[in-house]
Amino acid sequence: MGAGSGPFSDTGRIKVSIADYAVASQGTLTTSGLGSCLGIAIYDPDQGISSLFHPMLPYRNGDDSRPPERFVDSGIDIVVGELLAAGADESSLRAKIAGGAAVVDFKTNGEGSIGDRNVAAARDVLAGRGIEIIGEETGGDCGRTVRVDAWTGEVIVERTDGVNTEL
Amino acid sequence: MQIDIDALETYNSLAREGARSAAESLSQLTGLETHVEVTNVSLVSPADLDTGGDTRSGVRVELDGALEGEAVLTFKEDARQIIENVLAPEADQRMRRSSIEEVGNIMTSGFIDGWADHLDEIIDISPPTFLDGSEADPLPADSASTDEQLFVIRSRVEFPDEAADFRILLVPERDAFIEAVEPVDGDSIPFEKFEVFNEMTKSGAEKAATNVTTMTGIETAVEINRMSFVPIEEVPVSVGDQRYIGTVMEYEGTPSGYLAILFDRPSAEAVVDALVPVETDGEWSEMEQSAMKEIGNIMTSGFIDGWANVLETSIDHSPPTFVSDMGSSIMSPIVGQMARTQEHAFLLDSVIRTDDGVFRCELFALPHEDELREVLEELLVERADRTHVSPDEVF
Repeated sequence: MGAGSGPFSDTGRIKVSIADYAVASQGTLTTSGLGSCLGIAIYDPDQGISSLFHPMLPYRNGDDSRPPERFVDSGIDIVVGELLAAGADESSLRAKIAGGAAVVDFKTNGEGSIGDRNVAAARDVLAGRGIEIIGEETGGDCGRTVRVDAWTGEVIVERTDGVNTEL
Repeated sequence: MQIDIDALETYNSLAREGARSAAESLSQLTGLETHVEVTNVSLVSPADLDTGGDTRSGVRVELDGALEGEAVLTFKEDARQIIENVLAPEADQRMRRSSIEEVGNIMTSGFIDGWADHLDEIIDISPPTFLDGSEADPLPADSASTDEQLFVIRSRVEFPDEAADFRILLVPERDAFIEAVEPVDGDSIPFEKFEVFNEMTKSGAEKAATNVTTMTGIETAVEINRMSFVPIEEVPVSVGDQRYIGTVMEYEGTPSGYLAILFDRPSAEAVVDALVPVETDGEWSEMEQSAMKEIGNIMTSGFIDGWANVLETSIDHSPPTFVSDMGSSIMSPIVGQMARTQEHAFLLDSVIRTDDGVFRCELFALPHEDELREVLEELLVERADRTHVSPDEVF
């Protein structure tokens, strides 16, 4: 979808929508409006290639009729595939994650908020692929905007309570 | 006249592809990065055909053949200048204007081509009429001449580097479009039931507005009411990244779903001050939050009762949750819940304002799609005027 399937963008600002991703080696990847959703940046610091992915839900549960970019597990598979196709080395990949807040406090019937489950899924799926999470700014009850410098993999997380964090 | 909801999905994706194609044309012509933000198909009264109130220039074209109607492609002033500066730098006014006409012409063709391919028929596009920005709301010319609700297909495309955007509004000729979305087979819902449901929602929003006025003394009215059909992922961006303060409720019954009542900051302060006149220093105190929840409660009751009375069902709502965040972040967990089971959503959006525009509140209702289909199937059109409770029915 969107930037993910469009032409490979390598300059300027590249916006990533919900249930979408982008891969680039130059410019700034951005996504906003992260509530319970996640911003997952996976990058290869040696090759200078980064990705930003904005999933809504944790697991696709094998339902191939659902868009893969909507889910943490199936989306990470696609994003890693695109990173490798763009020249990244799988063993060099690192990840930083942000989001997973409980902006609205829904009844969850004991299964944890969507935000918590998204964070847990990202940790599991990335660990399963041997991709280390080296920065994390998750949870709480604030919305976030994430910017990724495509060349360096540096991430800035801006929270709506005014707290900004560099990962 | 029946509407096939699957056909709405098809038309939504055609519009999205069309917007992407128009955006790519613009990128090729100017070298500017573009990003398709949102595309939706909405049903609105001509009076509610809001374009944001900005001064916009661009082009208008008339469509004939397989798709009758009009399309308007407009740029806000900053976006127009960016494009003119790229395509006709240092040029005189006439050349700058013709660069916009040319860009508009190419982009509109890009937008429409996908429809012609899908319909496998020819769509004739008239030469563009230039809109110089002197009209406050450049709308399709014929849209104001009818009282009937219109289908409006709208797309917004951003230039991420420049914080500017352009917008395409496609207003197909009503009967021709209804014919186009007529079901070949499978589930369908009579078109007039959509209209009735939209009217019911407007009555609900009017009741919510009345309740705010009664409670706070602020004279409000419903300014815009529309029912949009959007891919579930696009609900947050439809609400936008601006900061809102308000409440979110979950309602249960037929239909069930979510309701967000969101105020911009000055309006939130105005309604809360009317109930709890104390000084605030940026943070929302517990007392102010509970005042906001109380406002959410009475507005929700007004809104939901309008539905329940016509549908003859009972709809209960959860206690309100106070929210203060980006609109898109507030909607994110709501669409997260809904995206587990549905791909598209009916987003009912009402704007409540004061005459001077100082006070503004938006209601976003998201009924579960399958339950809304059920409700529409059961809906008796002749019950539509019963949005207000008569005491005889209650006691």
